[in-house]
Amino acid sequence: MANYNKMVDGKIIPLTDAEQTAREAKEKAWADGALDRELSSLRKMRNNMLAETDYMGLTDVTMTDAWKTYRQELRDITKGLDSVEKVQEKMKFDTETKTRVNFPTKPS
Amino acid sequence: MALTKVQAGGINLADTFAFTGTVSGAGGLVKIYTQSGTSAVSSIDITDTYINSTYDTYYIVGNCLPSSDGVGLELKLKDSAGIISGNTHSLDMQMGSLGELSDGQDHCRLNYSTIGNSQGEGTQFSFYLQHVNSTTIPCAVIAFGKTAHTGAQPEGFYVVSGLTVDQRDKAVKGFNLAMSSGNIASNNLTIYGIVK
Repeated sequence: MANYNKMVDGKIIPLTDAEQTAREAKEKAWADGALDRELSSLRKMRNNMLAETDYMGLTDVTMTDAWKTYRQELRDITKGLDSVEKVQEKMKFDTETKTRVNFPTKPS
Repeated sequence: MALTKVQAGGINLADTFAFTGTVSGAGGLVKIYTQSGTSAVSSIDITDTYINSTYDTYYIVGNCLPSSDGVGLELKLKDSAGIISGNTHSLDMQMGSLGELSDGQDHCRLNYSTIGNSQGEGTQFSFYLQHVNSTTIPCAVIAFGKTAHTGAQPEGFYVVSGLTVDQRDKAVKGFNLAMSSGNIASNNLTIYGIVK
């Protein structure tokens, strides 16, 4: 198989064999880390949503059961997700409603 | 008599003048290189042809669209021997209220979440390279940009990055941009030198 190309100062040239080997090793490592990466993305989103409601834990705020349930569901969001496909389905984003349709519903 | 001073009203501002001289003694941005590519490449390398001792601070504006969906754009600095390898790059990144901190990895990152590969997605970035020639201060990368990841979701980020402190003896002679996986489908890049 032909080597990948790279662009050096605007000129396209093929990778050396050593560069090609390094690139292939990187591709394998990337593929092997797919589930960890997807879970990391999911956790980032989840953590952001938890952070949005952290103020409810202040002593002068009473958190309703609905909010407690919502926050617990967020904390549990990675449970049972043991494949890339499952994580991606959990993170599914609806571009029309701008929401993640499989995330816990925020209480109104 | 040679003209030594332009008098008020002595030049027709409605005219077009082709400037061919060299400005000296003034600060500012000097455009030194631009490229645009639509052929897929595994990386973009800029050498010391453009990043060298001429300037100590460079400003780079670019855009990269990955061939693969859901990847990251990695920036690696180079010295005279090539890419500065190992855990030599640090990173402090922010996206909204989220952040990441790392003081030892082999690249800086020019995105927060992953980057989508549909037309109009990709990552649009700019970054400063500071203290390029210093051998006592580690080269810094101050970057910010906008990405769109899968499903056209926009994301803004800024990152303070660069070489780790123990790499401060390395003068930077270029950089390398590559996706964490797959090719760069298309790109454009412009490099400016900043006159002191």
